Amino acid sequence: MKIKVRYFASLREKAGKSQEEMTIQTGKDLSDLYRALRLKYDFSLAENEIKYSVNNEYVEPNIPINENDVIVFIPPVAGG
Amino acid sequence: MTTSITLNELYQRQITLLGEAAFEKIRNSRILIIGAGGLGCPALQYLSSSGVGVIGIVDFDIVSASNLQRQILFEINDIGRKKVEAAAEKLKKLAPFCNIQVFPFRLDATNSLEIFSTFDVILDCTDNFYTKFLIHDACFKTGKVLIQASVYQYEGQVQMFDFRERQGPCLRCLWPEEPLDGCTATCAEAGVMGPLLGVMGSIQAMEALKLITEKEHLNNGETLFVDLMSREFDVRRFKQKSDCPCCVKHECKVQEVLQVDWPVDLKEFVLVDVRSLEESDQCPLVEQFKKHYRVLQIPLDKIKDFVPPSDQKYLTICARGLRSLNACHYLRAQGLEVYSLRGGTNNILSMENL
Repeated sequence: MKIKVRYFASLREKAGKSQEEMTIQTGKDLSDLYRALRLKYDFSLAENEIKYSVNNEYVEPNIPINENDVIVFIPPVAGG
Repeated sequence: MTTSITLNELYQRQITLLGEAAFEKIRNSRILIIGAGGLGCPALQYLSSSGVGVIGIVDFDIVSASNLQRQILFEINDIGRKKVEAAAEKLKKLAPFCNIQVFPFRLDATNSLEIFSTFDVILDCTDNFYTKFLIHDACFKTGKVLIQASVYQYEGQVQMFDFRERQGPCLRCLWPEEPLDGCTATCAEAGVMGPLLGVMGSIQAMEALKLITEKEHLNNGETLFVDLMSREFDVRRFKQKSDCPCCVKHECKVQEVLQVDWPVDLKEFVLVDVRSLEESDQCPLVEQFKKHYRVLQIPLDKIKDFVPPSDQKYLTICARGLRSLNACHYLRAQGLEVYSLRGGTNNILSMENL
């Protein structure tokens, strides 16, 4: 199924892009997806060190992914 | 010259939009800005020039050359001056009717509750997790409205927490434990664009003015995400965590003092140097520390892997005393007797004249 993934802050910097569309197998949850992308892009933050948002709501990482979801990975940010 | 200018002349455009009664609310408001840096400068300019009655500024730092790119209250001649003093001087020229109060020291657990008590709205314009969570918890405890912002390179986030009724959701519904400083790069490490801070600090000022004049504003449980690269503004919502340590269980205490001041008898402690190994190696004190005292080198991002024996007394150190305080806070939560060296090795170096 098709989904859209967006990267914020340090994750955007590391991935070298703000967003991408991808096709994934059904039955995956958000932390499965993040783990796979962490390996691909060498993100330093572990899956319990970021927040997850689907369609503009913050959600827990164990929720299943649905077709056309817009998924955002949100690292902690403190600059000022 | 200023004596001939009336309040109405200065604030006419705003009164046209908001009306006299709303302007009176702004005149009677008391706002505390913590951090006179990239976010704090534009927030201070807009809030003072909008007619806020009392503005407090907390900052311990001095102006340095690398600040000027984004901290637009300061100019070349201010380098080396205390930020609160340079800022107050500029703001008094801009807003002669505003009562500016300065707090030229670092906010900590011992002074935060007292400083907050005389203000209605607190703007968190700081740059580290330890202070952000300290401010958040102190706002919950004192029942204040907190408007918090953070930035990274081209992006920023704003959250507003109205704790006047001691209700959530709060920041700890999202992050029950504060992230460790060092888990993400700072502005110094990652770089940041000046206009982003202008936008984010201005949003904080605007939300404060809308709150005071009873207009719609961000609510508890909403994060405004601003991305100036893709030009997108989005609000994402979160719910109260059923076991939140702060707004549900009310267990969050503003942490007691964990810091000690130099000079310290280092023989009493096992030193935990939380800087990166490269950074420690460049510090002229490290050789002496290793020669005379017990020293462990545990960079902050590895602190969670550190399982020390609990029968020792520890002192965390870093360059400025911020990361060490963060590490100290974390190790305290693991049940250890830990202190953090205030001001870090920079402070020792300046005092010892090495």
